[in-house]
Amino acid sequence: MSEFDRTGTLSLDDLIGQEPPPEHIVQAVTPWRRAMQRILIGLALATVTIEIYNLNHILPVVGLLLVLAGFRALRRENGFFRACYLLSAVRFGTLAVEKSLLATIYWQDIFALPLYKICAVTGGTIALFALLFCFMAGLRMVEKKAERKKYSHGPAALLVWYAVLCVLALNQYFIWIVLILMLTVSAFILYDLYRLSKALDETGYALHAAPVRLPDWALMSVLIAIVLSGVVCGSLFFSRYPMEWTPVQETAETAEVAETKAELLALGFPPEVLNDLTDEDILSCKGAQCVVSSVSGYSDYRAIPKEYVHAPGYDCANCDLHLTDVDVMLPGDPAQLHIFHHFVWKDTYPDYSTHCLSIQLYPHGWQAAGAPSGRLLCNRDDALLTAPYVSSTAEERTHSTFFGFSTSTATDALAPFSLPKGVRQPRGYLTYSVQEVTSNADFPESLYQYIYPTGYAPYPVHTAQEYCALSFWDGPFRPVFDIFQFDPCYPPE
Amino acid sequence: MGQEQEIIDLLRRRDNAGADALLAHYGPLMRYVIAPILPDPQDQEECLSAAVLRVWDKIDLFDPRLGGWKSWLTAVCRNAALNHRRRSAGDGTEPLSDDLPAPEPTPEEQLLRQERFEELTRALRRLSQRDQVLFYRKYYYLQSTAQIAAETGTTERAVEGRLYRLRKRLRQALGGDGDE
Repeated sequence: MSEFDRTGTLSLDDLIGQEPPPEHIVQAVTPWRRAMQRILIGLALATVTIEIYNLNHILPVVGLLLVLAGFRALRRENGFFRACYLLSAVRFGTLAVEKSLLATIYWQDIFALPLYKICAVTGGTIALFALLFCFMAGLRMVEKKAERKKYSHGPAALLVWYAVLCVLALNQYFIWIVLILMLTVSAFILYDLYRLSKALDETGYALHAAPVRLPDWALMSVLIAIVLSGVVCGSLFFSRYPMEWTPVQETAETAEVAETKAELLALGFPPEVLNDLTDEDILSCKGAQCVVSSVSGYSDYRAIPKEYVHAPGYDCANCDLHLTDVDVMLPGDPAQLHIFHHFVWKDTYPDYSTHCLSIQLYPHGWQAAGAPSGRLLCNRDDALLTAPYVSSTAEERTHSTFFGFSTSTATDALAPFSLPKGVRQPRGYLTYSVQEVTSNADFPESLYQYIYPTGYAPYPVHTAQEYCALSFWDGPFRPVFDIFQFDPCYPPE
Repeated sequence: MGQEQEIIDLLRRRDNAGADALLAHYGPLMRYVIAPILPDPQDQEECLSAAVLRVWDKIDLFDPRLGGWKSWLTAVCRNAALNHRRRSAGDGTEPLSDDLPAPEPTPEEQLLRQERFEELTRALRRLSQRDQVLFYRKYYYLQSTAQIAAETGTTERAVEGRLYRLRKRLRQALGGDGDE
């Protein structure tokens, strides 16, 4: 025994042994309080959903960590608490996977998979109810061991409360009065459990705490690190589309293509758009009668973009992004239009997250012929690279007018993509044809939107395509758009 | 607090229901304090009976102005357990007093003890709450390192490390050189 231990022990016997320890020390020494406090605070945090600052994601993780740490200390106490510990570990694992997936652009697709649904229900809902049942049974055993004459109904009430919550959630029955009632009841239940915990704590309920190899703080740090690394990996590697960029094969221009290009240039087709078209798209405009185009430039794309509408061929020096619409009138009866929507970035462009081109065509007696097509292009060193869009589909949808008084049918086309890092002038276009189906039809209108990211993807990750479909513009994406009507060229002179 | 006062009042009125209530309500706490000092279950039960008897006898010495009920109760249990251990070991040392504070020391002893106690109390107060709890667990309630580690959710090695640093700090605070 060291000198201190000898004098220290003697001092304690002689001095402190004759004086009772401070009350707050006695309370902190009794073993039950710490574990139960963690469980109750954890259950409260996991129950409350506050949808600001991502608290609806952070609080359940913190809550489950506390529940796990609480049951870790109690796992030797009885079999039910041991089951609670294992079930809270399963629930935490499920939650960690879910939170990691939410950092990827694939989470909606994965969440819709039947296998994932089975795993989520098993690791989430079923594990939750099993945990609550075991918690109830474990507490009942503790109360019995502590020789309490009157058992608490709090644990059973908590189980019923969660069952009611699940029924409400399944029926989407969320009205304020019910939510306030549920929150009030949950507060009463947790207070009842707190009183039970306090009563057991006052008796100094002799807990058989389980020894640990890894301290609680280290375990919690490791688990938080696992969740965070899952989220970071998801954000870094799966928050953008995998694009297949390949070098453009240099082939000799045929005489027919050269001739058509010359015709189109003569009709006023913007050369910066024409140079990006495939030979097939150029040849589809052969014999054009008329070409009309408009160009919009946008600067300060990270803030509110400023728009500069200007004549074709005008170079907007301050603009980061140019959108060009080109309408080509083709010969024949019925009348046919070939429409091109083109974009090009200067060297400053958002090289992260996802982008989307969206076209809403209001035909007014015209009909789109097939799905839109197109390609993406960019320059890296001396090479010209190209990639297809992730998808390009068209479907008819009914849109409300601004005030919602009437509706109109439009053909919607969406083409999502991501841009590579370290390239020059990333650009692309979408093209489609429309045919007149009603004689003396009005002119078709096309709402062309380019949705681009203004910052890194939020959490949970949504794509530009999802934002476009939901028309959410208060987020990390911003649209620039152009409404194009083809009247100046029709009927051709 | 209501139940606590009720038990104290029953004990002060020498009502047998007070002893029953004490055992029913505070039995686990009393066992918890006794168990680390007396590992044998039979010794624990004997000591528990002795502790209840001493609480019954000495309840009039409990003064809420000097400290809390649970502090006093755990002090009685601890001293009862230490006395039981000494008697069982037959080391012949004088048993600890059950009177809290100890009765009738000489004025010189009282002054000296008071000075030393205040010195140690000051040193302890300078410690964090966490370290104070650790100190009382180890040196007052005489809990094993394994028990402290399990109940605080850490490893025995970590507890030993914290105790080493704690001893060093206290030695420095009490005028020592801080070396082991």
